[in-house]
Amino acid sequence: MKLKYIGPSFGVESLTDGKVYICLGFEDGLLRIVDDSEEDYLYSVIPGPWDDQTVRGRWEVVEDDEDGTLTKLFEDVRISLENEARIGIKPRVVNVMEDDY
Amino acid sequence: MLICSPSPVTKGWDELGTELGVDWSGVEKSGPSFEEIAKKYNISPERQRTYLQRKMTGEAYFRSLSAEEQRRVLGPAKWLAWKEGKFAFAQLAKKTYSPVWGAGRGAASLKELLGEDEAAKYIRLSQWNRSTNWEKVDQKTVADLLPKVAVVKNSILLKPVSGKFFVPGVGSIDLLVPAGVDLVNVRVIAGNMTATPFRTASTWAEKIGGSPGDWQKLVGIVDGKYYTYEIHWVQHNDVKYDLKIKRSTRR
Repeated sequence: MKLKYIGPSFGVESLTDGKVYICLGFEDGLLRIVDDSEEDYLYSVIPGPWDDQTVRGRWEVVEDDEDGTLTKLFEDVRISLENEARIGIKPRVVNVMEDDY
Repeated sequence: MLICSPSPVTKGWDELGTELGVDWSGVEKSGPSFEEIAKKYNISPERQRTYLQRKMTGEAYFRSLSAEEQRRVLGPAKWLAWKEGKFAFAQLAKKTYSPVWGAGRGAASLKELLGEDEAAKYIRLSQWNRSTNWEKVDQKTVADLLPKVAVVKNSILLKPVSGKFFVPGVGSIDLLVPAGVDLVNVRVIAGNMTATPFRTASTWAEKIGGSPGDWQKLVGIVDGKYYTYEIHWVQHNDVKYDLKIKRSTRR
């Protein structure tokens, strides 16, 4: 599976605008991506640096598996975000030191 | 008034007396003989012969010593730095001057040889390898002596870590690991202080600064209430870069 990152490049070895990355799967609510460091790390479906909320980009599916895992996932993400925007509810913020999810 | 100066030769009282026109023939030797020194320090007969032949330079003689002996003479940190070629043997001696004693020679400190930061680095390295059997590592390089992974003191997350977590059929959640949280079990997995090369250290040095040898890749754990997160980052001068989540595990 392959995804193209579109958005501001960030980090020295993280994600670069317009670059296609290998996606090893979707696990625990996050995407496992082989990034610019050539190692696999977990990235959000709305990608950006973990320590800077102001930088966010998006993924574009370049190559999917037979089950269409990534296409379905991003369709779910799109619908979810549209619903959130339409209803005006903000996503739940989970402080991992206190809350479960 | 007493005047001292280094002399290239060693002379006995008899010889000095003859030169100065003083009869010191009855003066007894004040120091131990070479044989006494050799016995005290367990110097092998072969090495005694070599020494007495005086065909070796000080450096050649030092190099003929075992790693453990060399290390005892220089001290562990200085020995490690010398072994890695951080300075030449001749630099170990420095010229000194004192208004009282005049010109002389002294041993250069590690800080004088390498600068404060590098000296501190080698002192730390030598402490980490305190339990090493130095005789066995005589032929190895410093990189061989370093641990594959170095354990360091725990750290603190200075900036919050956050991102969107998506559960199909449920929706999105904004995960937050607040600033100030402890990073525990912190380990250097590559780069400075380890035997594991940090493959892209030169890229980091080029883009951010410093020497490639100073960059490190670290791992630490955030113990959340229900999940633990393995965090990876790159570090230089205690500043963390490219914080990433390697995995999350339900506790």
